[in-house]
Amino acid sequence: MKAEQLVSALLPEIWLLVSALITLLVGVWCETKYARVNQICHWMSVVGLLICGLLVLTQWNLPMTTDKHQMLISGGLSVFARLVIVVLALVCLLLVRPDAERKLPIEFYFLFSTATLGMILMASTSNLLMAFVALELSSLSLYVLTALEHDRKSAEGSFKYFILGAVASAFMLFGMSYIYGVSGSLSFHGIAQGLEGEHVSMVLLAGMIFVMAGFAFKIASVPFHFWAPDTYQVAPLPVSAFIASASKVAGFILLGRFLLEAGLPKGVAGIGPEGVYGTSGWLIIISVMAVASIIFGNIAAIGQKSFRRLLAYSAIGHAGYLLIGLASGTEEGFVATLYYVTVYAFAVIGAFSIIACEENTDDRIDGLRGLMSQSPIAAMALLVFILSLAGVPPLAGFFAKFYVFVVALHDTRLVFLVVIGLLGSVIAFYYYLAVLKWVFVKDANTDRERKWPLGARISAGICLTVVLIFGLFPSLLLETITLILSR
Amino acid sequence: MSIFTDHALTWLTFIPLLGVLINCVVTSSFTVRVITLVTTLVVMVYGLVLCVLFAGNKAATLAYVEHYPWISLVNANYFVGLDGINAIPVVLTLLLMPVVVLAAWRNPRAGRLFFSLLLIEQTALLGVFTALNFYHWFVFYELTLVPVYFLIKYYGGTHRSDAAFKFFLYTLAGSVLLFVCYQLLHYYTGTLDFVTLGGHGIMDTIEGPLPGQDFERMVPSALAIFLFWGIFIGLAVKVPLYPLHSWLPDAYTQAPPEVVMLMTGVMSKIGIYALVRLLLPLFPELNAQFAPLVAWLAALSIIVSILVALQKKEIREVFAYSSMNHVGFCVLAFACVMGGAAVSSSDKAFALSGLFLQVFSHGITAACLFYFAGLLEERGNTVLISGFGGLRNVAPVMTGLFGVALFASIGLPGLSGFVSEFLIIRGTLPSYPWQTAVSCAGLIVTALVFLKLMERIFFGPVTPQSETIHDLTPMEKVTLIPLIFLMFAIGLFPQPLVYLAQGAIQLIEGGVGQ
Amino acid sequence: MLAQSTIYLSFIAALLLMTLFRCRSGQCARVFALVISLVLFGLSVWTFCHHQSAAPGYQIETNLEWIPSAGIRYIAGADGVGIVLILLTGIVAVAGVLFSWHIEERAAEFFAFYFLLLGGVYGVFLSVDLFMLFVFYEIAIVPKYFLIARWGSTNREYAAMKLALYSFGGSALVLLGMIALYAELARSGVPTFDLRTLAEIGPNLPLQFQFWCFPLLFTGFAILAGMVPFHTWAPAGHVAAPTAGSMLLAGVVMKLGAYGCLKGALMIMPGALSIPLVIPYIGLEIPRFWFWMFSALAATNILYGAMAALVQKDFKYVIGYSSISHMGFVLIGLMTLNTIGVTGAVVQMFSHGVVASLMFAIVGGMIYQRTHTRDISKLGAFRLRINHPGIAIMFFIGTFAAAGLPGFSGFVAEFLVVRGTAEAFTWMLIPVGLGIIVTFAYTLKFIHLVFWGPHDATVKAPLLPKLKVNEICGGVFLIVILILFGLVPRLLTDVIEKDVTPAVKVMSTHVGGPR
Repeated sequence: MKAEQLVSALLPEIWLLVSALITLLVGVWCETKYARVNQICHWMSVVGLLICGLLVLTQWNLPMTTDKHQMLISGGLSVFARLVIVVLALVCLLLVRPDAERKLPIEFYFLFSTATLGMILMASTSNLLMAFVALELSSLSLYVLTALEHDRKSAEGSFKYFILGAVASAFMLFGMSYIYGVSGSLSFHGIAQGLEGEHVSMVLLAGMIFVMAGFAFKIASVPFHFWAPDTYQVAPLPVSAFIASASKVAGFILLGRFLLEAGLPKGVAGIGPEGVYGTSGWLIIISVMAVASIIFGNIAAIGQKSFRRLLAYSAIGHAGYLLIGLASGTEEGFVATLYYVTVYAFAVIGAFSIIACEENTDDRIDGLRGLMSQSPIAAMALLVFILSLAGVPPLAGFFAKFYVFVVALHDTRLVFLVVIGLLGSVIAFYYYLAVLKWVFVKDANTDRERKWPLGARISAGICLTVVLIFGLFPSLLLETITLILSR
Repeated sequence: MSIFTDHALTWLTFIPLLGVLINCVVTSSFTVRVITLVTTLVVMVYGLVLCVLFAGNKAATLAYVEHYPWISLVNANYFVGLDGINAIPVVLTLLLMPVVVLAAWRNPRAGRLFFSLLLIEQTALLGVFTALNFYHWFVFYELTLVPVYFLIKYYGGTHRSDAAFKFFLYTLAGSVLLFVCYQLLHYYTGTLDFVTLGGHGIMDTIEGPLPGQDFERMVPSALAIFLFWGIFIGLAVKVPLYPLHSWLPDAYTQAPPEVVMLMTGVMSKIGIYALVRLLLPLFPELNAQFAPLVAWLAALSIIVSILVALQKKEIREVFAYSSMNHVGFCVLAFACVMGGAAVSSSDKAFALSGLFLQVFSHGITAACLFYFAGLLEERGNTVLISGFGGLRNVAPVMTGLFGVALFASIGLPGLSGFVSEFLIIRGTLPSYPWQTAVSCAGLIVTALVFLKLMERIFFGPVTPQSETIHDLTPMEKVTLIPLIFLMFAIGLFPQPLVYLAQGAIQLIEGGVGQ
Repeated sequence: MLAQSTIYLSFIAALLLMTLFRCRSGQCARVFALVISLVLFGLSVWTFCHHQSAAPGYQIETNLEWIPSAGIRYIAGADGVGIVLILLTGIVAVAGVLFSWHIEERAAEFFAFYFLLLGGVYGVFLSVDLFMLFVFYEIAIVPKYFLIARWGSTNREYAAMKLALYSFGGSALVLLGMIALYAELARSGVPTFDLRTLAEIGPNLPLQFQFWCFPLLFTGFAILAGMVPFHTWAPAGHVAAPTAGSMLLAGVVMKLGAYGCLKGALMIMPGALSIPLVIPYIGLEIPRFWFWMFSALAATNILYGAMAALVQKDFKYVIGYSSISHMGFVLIGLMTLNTIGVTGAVVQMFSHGVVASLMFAIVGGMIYQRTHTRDISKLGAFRLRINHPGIAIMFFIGTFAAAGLPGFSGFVAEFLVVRGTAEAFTWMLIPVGLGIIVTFAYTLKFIHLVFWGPHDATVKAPLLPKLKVNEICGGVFLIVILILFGLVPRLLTDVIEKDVTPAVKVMSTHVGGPR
């Protein structure tokens, strides 16, 4: 990769960084002078992200190119991944209310942009080292963002997030060193070549498990899920939405790439002899994580009183479904996971956008009581989002689950994953319906209209469109992903 | 044929429903009565004319046929026709219906609902008797239960609810058995038309295939036995035959007297008719095999029922059990007809004409008896026989007519009961001497029961209850005259009925003798 | 296109009611709903009439690619079985609106969910693609929850949740079976969900595969059809639901399950019924395992449902359990695998749909809304027979029609099913016959208790409001339908038979042998 190629490939990232810095400078400069500084910074970030998205779009037709160490991958999947992450970031940013009484500090916008930057980089690398750096960049930004409410609870949530993240990072780094030791490379292809035909030794197994720990943290899968409920609950709403959506997308794209490129020696196509490095090794780790996540996430969600905690536990469950797609170890499985994670991200932001109605301090589920009579459009939108999360056709969430299961059933060893997944989804119906019960069945205590800010409306509209369009016509997204992966 | 006879039986069956429709719109209860009476009279005249035309045209064994597919999938057809077998029950229904309406004339509780239900019942009864396809038949067969159920439920005595429930459920259980058996039969034969079932001599050879049927579809002999008894028991509930009769005393004592007239007069004949129509043609070999046993069952029913009647204290109970005794004779005759080669065909002819005469004559006399029972209960305010006495003194006309009816029922020569019972005994005696002997013993007990009853009610001192009894009103006389007239008419000139029954004999001889 | 317009008209009506009519008065929404339901009824009748003379097979209206990569197509059309159920849906739709006239509270929303449900139901019956069928099947589940939980009575939230979870549980099984089937087909190179293709190649799939895949699909669908032992949602749901909810639930939603059993399980994998279950180690071999299993369960449905109805104290529970019993006739009819039996099952679906709506309309609508009690021992005091002869007559007609009195469509169905049973498994006639007897027993029992029930003659019966026009219209409408199809069953049987006959031929060759 030549230098000018590198620069043009990195243009979106560079622009994002520049615009983030400008926003920070403007914010700091004007903080004391203008009352409306928050709005200015907000719109600057929005515009910055928009331009970043457009820059990504210009690369749409680029074929996949990379350097020797696969530090940066441009074109192909990276374009799609960046685009999705930027759009998700934009939609989350729309949830911010710069005119609210309790304003977020100026550094929010900067950190939000750097977190996005980290995620974009995560999604466009095939090198463990670069992946680690990107992951840390996004994580560190998110730790701080979580704590921006400046209260005790917020600090606690952030601290949990940080501690667990640090531990996971340490594990990951440790695991990376083992893998590096065995395979002699940090790039995914290098690892695959280095490990071809290798039997799974204790060291390699430890490396695999430790690396997975880092990923598990990022995607909120059991056993590194503990941060999720607290963080979701206490972080500022746009940040929660951001963590739930974009962060997950980035994590899964990186994990998928890692498994597909490094996990499976090329040419073996996923079916290696018993005990040899390849699917058989990863299958067990990922299956265990998937089963544990589905069961734990769905069961724990049942008793929740807080809407955000419920979404957090359900997110753990969804991580399990996403892992089923990866467990099949095929490109088709990766397509299924990509489809799933994209529509999931939009549905979950949609759900957050509904509770952005007003300052809902103790976001209890019964706070949604009587939403139907107060704000019918919001109620119906929430119906769509929740049902999509629950996997009811014809919404996108259903087809996502369906496709993941279809892919998994190509491999008879994964039948039990599908069975567990279906079981989990029946449980999930219970708590999702329980949410909708408050919205549609219960009467409101008061008749006052709920204030639903414009930004939240727009983001809900975008999410609604995505969930409906990709639900009714899943092949639109599916074929795009397949096409892009083939480049 | 002419307009008059096109769709004749369909019109006949459904004219009463037109009466129901008119009843729905008129208001006064008198108008309702008049309309109902007119309807039944119209039906009667129309039907009798049809029967006379039918009897005149001897060449046609099956007249006024209408045949339309109903559910082609199972060969269920709308199939009506008049032949020797159903002519007599149809005539009986036609004649008795106006009498029942007249009998109900003085019932103050009878209103629009009552008379409408009566008319619906008439439709159902005519449908049952004219149907020649099992599906068609069954539709009306079950329909007969519903109006009677509600008539008992609405207008019956103190224990009407239990009586109605028992009546309905017993009969229904029987008909479900019948239904199931016929379904199995349809599976093996592929037809539900009685004419085809009879005409082909369906189960001619039980083990053999039917013409045009698959070889696989043979009725296994064990199944044939099951079907035979299933159908027999299903119908025996309706007849009823001991020990399947326990609905009968309740229903006959609790239903309003007019409804009992209909039940004992016509409905109990459905069972007899169905035995001839539904069971007789099916299994000639099994018929012959089981005929003695059926004769024993009939004899048992005859003797047990009348012995029970001997013990009973209430008028209607006595009549109910004696009614069971009389239909027992029909079953005895039926057993004889079943007899196959063991019974000579002249004996069969005797028994069969006896059966049909008994159907008719019992229909008339039993209806008459229950009418009197109703009058007495109402005027004397008691149901017990012991409550009455000296009726001869207070109501001479009533006593006279009541006496005629009782003697007709006993079988006094010159009255209707004699001819039929004579014919039956004449037919059965040569082949089933023991069964007939037992039945004859029953006959003697019947005489005993009725004479005792007469002595008790007609003679002796006038009891306080009897004092209030006044003699028949003109309306009641009008009601009774046709019945009494028929009792004498059949007793003295049974030829028209025998003539009608001849057709049946030919049909059945043709079918069974093959 | 006209048949499909029922689906989209329902959805559009739902959307309009949810948005435009929300703030208007209830009357406005009601009239709108009635108009829409009449149009739906008209469309249903129109398509039904046009189907009458058609050749066997599906009448396809639209056939488009939907998700090409997964071999999923959008194929809308109906065959004889579907068209009968479309007609049924049209009938129940009108009656349901008529019996929801009293709903004042958020009427527009009520009707919105009502039409959403109807759209799903229409969609299922018009799907010729299993995936598409499943999509509509699930769409029909969600509104049920809200209808019951919001506008229901006794224990409504519990019952609604139970119903929804059972339904989703069932559809999870269906989904599993469907995906397994798809994966198996993909292995043999024909990844498709087209019901026509599935019915062609499905029976030739490896028997061992059919053996474990068939019960998933069948049980999954049968849960919604109220098969014992997965029936408990039904009585609870019916009781808690608002009148129109129970009418739709018993009238059409249970038919979705039965329809799925036929189209989604029996017609695709009949081979599963032919093979034995071999229990290893013991050496026990149960021949035709699934065949006997599901037949026995169906017979249990009939008898158990009827016996449970016999001992109920709550009036709506009686109707609920009688529905279970009647659905048993559908299931056993399907399991006979012969033309007469399967035709009978479909006629029973239709007939039970109408009769169950009528009964729920009478019990939940006419009676409960006046007396405000469903306790059978207390209903006698209202002396409905004398004070409300209209209700009494409708109830008598309805309950006897439900019990299968000849002259009503229920009898036709019963006749055909029993005839099919006589052919397929003679012994099953015993429970079926007993079931019929018990059915009449409870019918008579509850006629007596409710209309001749104990009451204190000295106390004047409370004065209850007279029957309203909409109630009379709805009741008479349903009764006329029952009698019409009872007297002229050919209208149904001919159209069903033409499509059942070829299907049964395929099924019976794969099940094969004397039973």
